[in-house]
Amino acid sequence: MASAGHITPNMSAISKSRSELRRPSRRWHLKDRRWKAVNQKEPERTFTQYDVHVETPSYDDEVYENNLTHNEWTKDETDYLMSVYREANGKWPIIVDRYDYEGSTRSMEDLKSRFYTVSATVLRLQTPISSMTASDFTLYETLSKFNPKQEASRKQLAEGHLYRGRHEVDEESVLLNELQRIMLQQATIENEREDLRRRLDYPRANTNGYQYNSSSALTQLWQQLLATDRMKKNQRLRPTGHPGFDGFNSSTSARPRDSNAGLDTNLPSRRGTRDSLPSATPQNSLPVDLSAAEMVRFGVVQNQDKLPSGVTFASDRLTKPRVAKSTVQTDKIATILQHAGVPELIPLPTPAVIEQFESIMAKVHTLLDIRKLAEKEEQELKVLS
Amino acid sequence: MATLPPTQAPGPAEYAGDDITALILDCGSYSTRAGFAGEDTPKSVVPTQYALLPSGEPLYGENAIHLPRPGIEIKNPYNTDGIVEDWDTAAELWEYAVTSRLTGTRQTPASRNGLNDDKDQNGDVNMEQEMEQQADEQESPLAEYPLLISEPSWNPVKAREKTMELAMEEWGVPAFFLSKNGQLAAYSQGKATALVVDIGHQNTSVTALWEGMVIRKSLHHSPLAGNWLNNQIRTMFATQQPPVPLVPHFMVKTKSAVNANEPAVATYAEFSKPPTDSFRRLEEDRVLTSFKESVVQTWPGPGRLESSAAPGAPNGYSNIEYTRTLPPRPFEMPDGWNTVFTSDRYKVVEGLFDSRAAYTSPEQPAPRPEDALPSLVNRAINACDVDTRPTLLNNIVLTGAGSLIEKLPERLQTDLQTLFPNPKVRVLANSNPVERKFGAWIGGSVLGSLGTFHQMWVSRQEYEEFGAGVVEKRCK
Ligand SMILES: Nc1ncnc2c1ncn2[C@@H]1O[C@H](COP(=O)(O)OP(=O)(O)O)[C@@H](O)[C@H]1O
Ligand SMILES: [Mg+2]
Repeated sequence: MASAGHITPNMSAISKSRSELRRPSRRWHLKDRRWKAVNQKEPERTFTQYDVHVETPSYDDEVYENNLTHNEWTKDETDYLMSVYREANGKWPIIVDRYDYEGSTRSMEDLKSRFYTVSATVLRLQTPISSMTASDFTLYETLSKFNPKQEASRKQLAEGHLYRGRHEVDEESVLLNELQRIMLQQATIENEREDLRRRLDYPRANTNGYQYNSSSALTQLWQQLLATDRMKKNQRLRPTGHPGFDGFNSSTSARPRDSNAGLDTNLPSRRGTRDSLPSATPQNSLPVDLSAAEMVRFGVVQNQDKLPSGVTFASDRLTKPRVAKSTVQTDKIATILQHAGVPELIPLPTPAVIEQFESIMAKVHTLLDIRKLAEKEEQELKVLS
Repeated sequence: MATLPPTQAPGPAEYAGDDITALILDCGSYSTRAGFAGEDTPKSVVPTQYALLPSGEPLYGENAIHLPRPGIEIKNPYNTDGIVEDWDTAAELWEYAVTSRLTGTRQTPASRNGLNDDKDQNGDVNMEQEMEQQADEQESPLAEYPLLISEPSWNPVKAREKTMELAMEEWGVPAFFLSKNGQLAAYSQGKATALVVDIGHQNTSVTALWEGMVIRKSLHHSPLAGNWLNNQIRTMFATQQPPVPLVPHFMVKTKSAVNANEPAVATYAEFSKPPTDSFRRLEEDRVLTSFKESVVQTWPGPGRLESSAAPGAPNGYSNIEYTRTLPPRPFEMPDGWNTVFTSDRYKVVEGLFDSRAAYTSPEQPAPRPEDALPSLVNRAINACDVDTRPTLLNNIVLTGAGSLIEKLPERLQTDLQTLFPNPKVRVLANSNPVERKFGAWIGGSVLGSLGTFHQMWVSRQEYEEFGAGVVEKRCK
């Protein structure tokens, strides 16, 4: 028999039963009533499975004297704490509410600290740390690590947060809104940019005006806020729908106003349908399914022509053409390139850069040829004149 | 004790409404509601006020108390704090509420003593004869069902024990439980964690509930409730130019239509002995309740009724001036006298939120500021652990028939959100007035039909073993 009863039916049961209320309840009949008067002196206790008690550490006088004494706690009060814990089902907001020991003014942290210490000690006495199971040890660790001071100051912060004034709350929402606006705009711009690049087949420069470097911090902040926001019930931030910013692929289907509506940015979620399509688009032959925009972004190219065997470096394609057979010629090429503003060292040999470089080199060669021709002509003219 | 993880769906065994039919009795200061667990609404709703004939005989029920009999007094077994004062009458009244509609009465309701003693020999002995009357003489109709009674959260220990004694000794119930109003109202909304604001007749109360358990330090109550509102309206009527004549139905024999503010053209009932003040008051309250239902409105916010209107409004233009520009609402007294109400229909409720705005008169002192609704909630919230506050503020359950004033939930919401700008405040008020009127009863009905609850009943055996004191240990 339970020594104390609390009404703590679970939520789902309550809501469930609420919907069941519509079912017609059994009619009361005189006969029933008579029979029940005899047979049902008290309701049958068939619901013992719900009679779950919370456990508290157990100790006797000796154990207490040897291990659990504390200069701010008597054994009597410790016992009382254990009884309140059981009575309150281990719910701390209820434990502090009901705790009434000779007018004590102990805080929840004081009570928790004492309870956890006693629990940890009793646990250690029952099973020495060396032979604890992993889960027992984790429990032991958690119990002994409780820091009432830290917890109290966390609460103070929480309280401060709770009572922040209208002004601060407004300011926060203004800032959040601003961030939201910036990020949405960034996403839109980036999408439009990619779309434009695709259309124009504009090679992607690695030193463009798009300030990814400075906004990476912004992106990081955004991701952090978004992640915490996602844990909350009332979400205040809306993912931009751009995986590069959000740090995850939002399940929101491509919003029509976005210029990437036709682009497939939600890769993993769409892969299934992709694979089932019979059409063998070039992308499909890659081990990783990348969109055109992403291919540009990560520098992935599909080479239609035959590749030379062995490993070659892309940077070779930027250095080798600079060297001609003669040193004079090599110097000439270097001068032209310098004049054209092509640096000697190009840090990142992306396909677009290489392509650009090669087109420049072609022009350099043409120029050299033309110069050569011009010189020859001049020479001839001099000779003739 | 009986806790399942909140995420776990209840098994079929959990619904126990069909196994054990419990009786649910919600005793309010305005009405007493009774019915079987598992039903939608209480089958029996009886006024808590009763009529006392000059002979000393009490009469219960809607029909009996509204009949103007010579010399009858209208009384209430509750005191103004919403606690039972007259136990003999309360016991009879509650029994009347159950037996008049639900179980049928027994022959001699006045002599209750000693009738339960021999019920063991009874029961199936007279099956064939089927003489209900005889059976009723032998046992109380209440002796067959586990009984769940609601109580105000500030019910003193003595009253709680007395209730248990009454149920066990006089009614011979097989099992008993006492549960707080606010707790039950939360269950009616499917909530085990909530801050319940219950606006009744004599009192408004707040109750914080954490995972099904009451946070005791949060319990607060105030007299600013339905009855107090009636008095605000009385004062408002008296101070109108010309004063509004509050004439109850029983005074009027015939009436004819008149223009607004014109004197009534009616014939009035004549009494050799005029009805008592208490009777007249009861009948006036009926008119006032319909006034509250159809005319009275709460200023929904933002801001108080008296405070200046939104920024940009002309200097000194207040919300109350704005309400004067809204279409007025007409009201007709039972004798045909009628008028329209403009801003005054807002002003009578304003005191619930802003104590300085209340009407005062020699009989009606100004309310204490801490009794206003937002202060009550504030005090309750501050008595709870910091970590529970955001959740509680997000689950404010508004209940009680007194809360049915138009736009009252909206105002509570805006006032509390102003008080706590940071956490998300959410006031849940069921849009179905029946559910709000009977919130506590419906919660009892839900609870009484839950399998988990059947661990909780205090059985007759336990009572016999431990005495009435067991109620303090078991019904927390
Ligand atoms: N529609 C309504 N609008 C406003 N007040 C109402 C309405 N119906 C009833 N009331 C008032 O509600 C009060 C009764 O509330 P109730 O919750 O039944 O009280 P109690 O639980 O104390 O018996 C009375 O003062 C009554 O006038
Ligand atoms: Mg009530």
